[in-house]
Amino acid sequence: MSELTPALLWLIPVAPLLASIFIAFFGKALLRGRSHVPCVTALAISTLCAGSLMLMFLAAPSQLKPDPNTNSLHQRPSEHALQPVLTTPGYAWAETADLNVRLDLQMDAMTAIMLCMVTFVSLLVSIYASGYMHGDPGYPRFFAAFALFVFSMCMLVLADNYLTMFIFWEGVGLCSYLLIGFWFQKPSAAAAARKAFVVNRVGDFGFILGVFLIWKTFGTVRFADVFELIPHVAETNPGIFTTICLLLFLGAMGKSAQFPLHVWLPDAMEGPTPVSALIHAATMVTAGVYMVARSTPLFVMSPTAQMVVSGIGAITALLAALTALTQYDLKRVLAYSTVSQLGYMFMALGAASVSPKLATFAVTAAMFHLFTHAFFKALLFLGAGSVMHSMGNVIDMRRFSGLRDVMPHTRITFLIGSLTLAGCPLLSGFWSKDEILVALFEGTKAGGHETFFMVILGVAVLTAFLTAFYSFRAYNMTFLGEERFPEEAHHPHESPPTMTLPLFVLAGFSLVIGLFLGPTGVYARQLAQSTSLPGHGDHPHNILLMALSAAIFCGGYGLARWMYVKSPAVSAGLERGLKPLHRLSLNKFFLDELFNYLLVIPVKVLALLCTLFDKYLLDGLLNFAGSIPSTIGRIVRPIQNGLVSHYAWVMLLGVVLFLIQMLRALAG
Amino acid sequence: MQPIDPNPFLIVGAVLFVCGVVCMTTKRNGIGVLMGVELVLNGANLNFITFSRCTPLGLDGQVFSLFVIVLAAAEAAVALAIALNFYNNHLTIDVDRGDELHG
Amino acid sequence: MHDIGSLVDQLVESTKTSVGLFVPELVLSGTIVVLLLCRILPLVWRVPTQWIALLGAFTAFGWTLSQFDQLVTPSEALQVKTLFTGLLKFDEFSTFFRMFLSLFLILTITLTVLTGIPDREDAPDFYTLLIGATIGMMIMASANHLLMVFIGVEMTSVPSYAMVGFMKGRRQSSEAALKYVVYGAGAAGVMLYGISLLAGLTGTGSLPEMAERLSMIVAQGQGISDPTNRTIVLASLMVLVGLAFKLSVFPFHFWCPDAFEGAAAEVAGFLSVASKAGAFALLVRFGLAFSGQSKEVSSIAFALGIGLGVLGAATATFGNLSAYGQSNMKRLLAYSTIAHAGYMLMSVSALLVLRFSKQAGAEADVASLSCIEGLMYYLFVYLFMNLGAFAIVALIRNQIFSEELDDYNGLGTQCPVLCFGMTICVFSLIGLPPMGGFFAKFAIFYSVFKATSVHWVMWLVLAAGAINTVFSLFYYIRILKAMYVKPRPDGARKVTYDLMPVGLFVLMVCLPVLGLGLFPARFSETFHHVASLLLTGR
Repeated sequence: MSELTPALLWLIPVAPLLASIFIAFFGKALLRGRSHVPCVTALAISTLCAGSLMLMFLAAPSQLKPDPNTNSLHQRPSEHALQPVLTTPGYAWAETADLNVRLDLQMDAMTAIMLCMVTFVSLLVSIYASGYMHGDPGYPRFFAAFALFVFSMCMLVLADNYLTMFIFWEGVGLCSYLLIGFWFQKPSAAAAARKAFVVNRVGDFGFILGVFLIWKTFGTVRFADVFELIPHVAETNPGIFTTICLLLFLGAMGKSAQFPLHVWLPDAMEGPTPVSALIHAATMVTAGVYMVARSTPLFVMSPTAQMVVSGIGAITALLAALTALTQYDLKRVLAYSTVSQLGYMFMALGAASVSPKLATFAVTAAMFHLFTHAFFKALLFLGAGSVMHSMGNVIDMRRFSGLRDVMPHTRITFLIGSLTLAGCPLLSGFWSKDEILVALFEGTKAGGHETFFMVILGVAVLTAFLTAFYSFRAYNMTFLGEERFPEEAHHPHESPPTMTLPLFVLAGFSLVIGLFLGPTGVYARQLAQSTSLPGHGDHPHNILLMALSAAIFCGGYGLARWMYVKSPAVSAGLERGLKPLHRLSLNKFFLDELFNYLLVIPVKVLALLCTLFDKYLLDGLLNFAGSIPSTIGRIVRPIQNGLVSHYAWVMLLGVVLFLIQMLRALAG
Repeated sequence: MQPIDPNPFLIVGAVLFVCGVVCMTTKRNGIGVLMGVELVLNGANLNFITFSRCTPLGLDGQVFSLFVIVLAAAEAAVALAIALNFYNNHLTIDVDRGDELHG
Repeated sequence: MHDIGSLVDQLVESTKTSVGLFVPELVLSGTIVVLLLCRILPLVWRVPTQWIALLGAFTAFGWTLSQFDQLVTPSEALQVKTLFTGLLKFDEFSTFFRMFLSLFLILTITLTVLTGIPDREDAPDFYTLLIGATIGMMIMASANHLLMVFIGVEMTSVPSYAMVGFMKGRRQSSEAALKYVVYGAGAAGVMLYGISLLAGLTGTGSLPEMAERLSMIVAQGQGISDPTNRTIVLASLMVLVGLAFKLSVFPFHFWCPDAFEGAAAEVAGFLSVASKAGAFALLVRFGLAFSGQSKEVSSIAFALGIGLGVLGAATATFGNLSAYGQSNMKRLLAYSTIAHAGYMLMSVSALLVLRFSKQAGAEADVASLSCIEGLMYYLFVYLFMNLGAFAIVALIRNQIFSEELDDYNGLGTQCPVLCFGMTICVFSLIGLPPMGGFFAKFAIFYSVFKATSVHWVMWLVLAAGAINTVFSLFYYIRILKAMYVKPRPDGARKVTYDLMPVGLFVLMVCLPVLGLGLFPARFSETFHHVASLLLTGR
């Protein structure tokens, strides 16, 4: 551990920030078509830094000794032995006796993993975007917002307290808003951006309330201090944990698109595809999972909250998977798939309540799935973007098919992505999904909620089947069958190398990363060092479940092949036969409409009333209030009439008044 | 040195002070206002001298008044120069005629 | 004659040590002499005058900086001393202000070099006046004796009068100077009378001694009905009139808009910052001079504190309200400086209220520390942001030959550097984060908030401060609106300027404004240290 470490740590978020500022200031005038250069460079630097720090962690966790001089590194006390945390004294805005505002960075195993994933995927996506966004008039704006997002995301995972986390939580939300509405001239894009922002607000409200409650209960918002005080608070006020956890989870539901706050994510696909890949699949939406995982010590104190997490996760996973079955918009299929997979992660996180021994395993399973999911989902989205690029921005799968010969590179990488998502044995999605299933299975054996977890496990298995089915439905409809192009596609072609190269890299990672890190236990060992986890626990295996999920994969794959390749008539017949169900799924269970009637219309009526009130009453009052200063100003200004003797009299009067007042005050 | 009663001197000083203040506030002639200032300063000077005699202030009081005299002279010089400049620009010394700056 | 011999020895000894510590002022005085003689000495005359002035200013700044550095480091290299047999105080607080003032002198001279406001013929006189006024302010900041209080105030005032009237041919300038000199002289006279009464009643001119004797006298008397006590109140009030005039506190602020509008923007910028800094240092010293053991003196100081709070609130309100509808930039900024003096006065008020409250304790001591800290921070930020605003007004005037707000329309695209600097200064003046003005205002309001626990009036003061911050927003925004939103009228003069030196100067002034907002911890720590040393008196 060298003295460079804090600098490296700081460089990870700062490099994208500088790039963002640079592009924002000079992008339009100087860089124009080269605006991606600073962004890609900065992200490469960040990736290198994150990677080298990760290697340090991997190499010798026991070498991370406390450094008495700089205090930059400290070991968690006794029970958390061998759980190194790297904290760098950061930027102190104000430090006085009673005011202490500072910004420190903290890095432990969980942060390191997240950082590596975030910086690496965003590097690839930014390279991809340099090709995808080429020629767009907002090219510099895109990369400025992109780099700003990476900065915010890195700061979010590097935060050492809940408040900083919340600030950058809002930061990523803002960047997401900017990027969803990147083509703000398009009304649907602007509406989607607004929807994402508003729905996220609901979650953020819960999050900030949770942070306040933490602050009130613990007197601090620093992770380390809060976790240390848990036993103390558990004695005095055990009931508070459920409230805190549910509020925090509300925040996670908003950001990670959990039912019923998931409605914004499919709409967010209005943004440029690289944004969908990075923000709305790989990184930002996993912030909720990260936050809940980071708060594991709090969540294990409240089994009730854990059950809610699991339950919501299960509902989301199932609903989203069902919706994804019938969507025709390729990006929307992937979006619902993302929602569904995030639900999967939450199911696993909820299983941490079963027993303290299992907590580490359950959280590890969720984080592992988060990790692998980032790669293959980014891959799928970028593949979809490549298709879109070639098809003249058409993404409706009914309008094209049989692209396997036109876009061989995209096809092969998309196939790998689909296989991974579907859980093909030995690919990374298989390993991480299997761990989640094992965690849930363990839940049915121990603890007091066997039945509950039985249901959850059932849902998970069903969802896995649906996942396999819809991912191959999408693949088959797009790349197999007869060759058809929409008329918007003037000359269908394979995407340029800047776009296919990231696809191949991601595909490579999707293929092997699960096998390397999952069954070998590398990932679990590494993550177990995180301060948020209670330490090494059991690592159960279950051959039976593995076999089951392999069988599920085969079933889903086969069904999709049969319905969409072998005998397409079947799918059409099924569609007609199950019309009500099909419509239900196609229309996303009418959730948007439900929201519309239940929330949006009443709110609009209320808003109309408020507008009237505002226009006729408040505006009048406000204008009146606004005119007060200038009116008084007009009244007092004649006092300053420029006449010397006049001034002198006013001064004299002032002295006399002051004197009288002083004497009265002293006498009284 | 026999002890003296300071009150008469202080009263004269106070009268000078009040005269000066009234002069400053009522006079429209710039030079007149400056004369009022001189009266105020000399009222204070008289106080210093009196106190130097009747209180532990001692010689400090006299030093004080010497400095005041010097400073008053400097101030008067600058003030007169400014008044002269005013006259050059406005062809009057009536301070109330300078009312371009207001509001 | 043994007594006289030892007295002389003592004097010589005191002078020897004092002169060593008084070097910055002596350097500046030497610069003045050189400037006065330079017309006679052809060799010196060939050197541009501003370089001579700048050299002197830099020397003084460097010297005070090193003194300050030695003082605040705990090495005890220099002890707190009084200079010249107790006439001047030499401590961290005074050295901070001397450093502050010489830094400001450097910036002002640099600005005049850029704008070229005194021409070759007048330059020696102008810099003489400028440096002379600065020395006066330094004396004000370190005054430990009533005589020095008066000399400091006069040494500041007299050159200021002349500087305001420096543009001899302009009607407005001469009017401004006449008004300034008339009020200034009047206020100085009243102040001197107050000083004479105070000196006479206590029988001493030295501020610490005066404090002791005051508590003795007041304790002997029968409360406020005692004529002696009343005279003390009256006398301190008269001294305050002189200071209030320098600070342009309502209702003694009338000179300020008129003088600033008539004077050149450079001079207005100098006066708005420097003379306020000196006067605030003096006000704090004078207020703390009341600290005695007796309850009666405390109650006088306490009542004074409340009164100053009300005055501060009134000043801020009056300044902000009057700034509405101003069309001349210098006048607008003049009202804004009045408002800022009001905010700063609030912190002095909070200091007196906290320190002399009946339930004074350890907590109140800590709180009163934060008052001084806040005031120093505010002054330090104010130095840059207000000078920046006035400097940019002067630099823009050199381009468009106007100081009217309407002529600023659409300048944002024509001279982006100046307008960007103005934006930073204006944001800081409003008190928006992340500018230094935000933290400064925050620190002051925080100390006032602490004082609210002592007396309910402070709640009103705090409320007035908060409301005024909102009020001020509107007229500051007008400046930005003119520059960025309104279009440049057709046929308006094309603006061209030499980017390098001007841009550098704007950067030099604006970067500290930003830096003080982004990294307040280091500065406030130093100020805290200085404040604690001032209050404990070591």
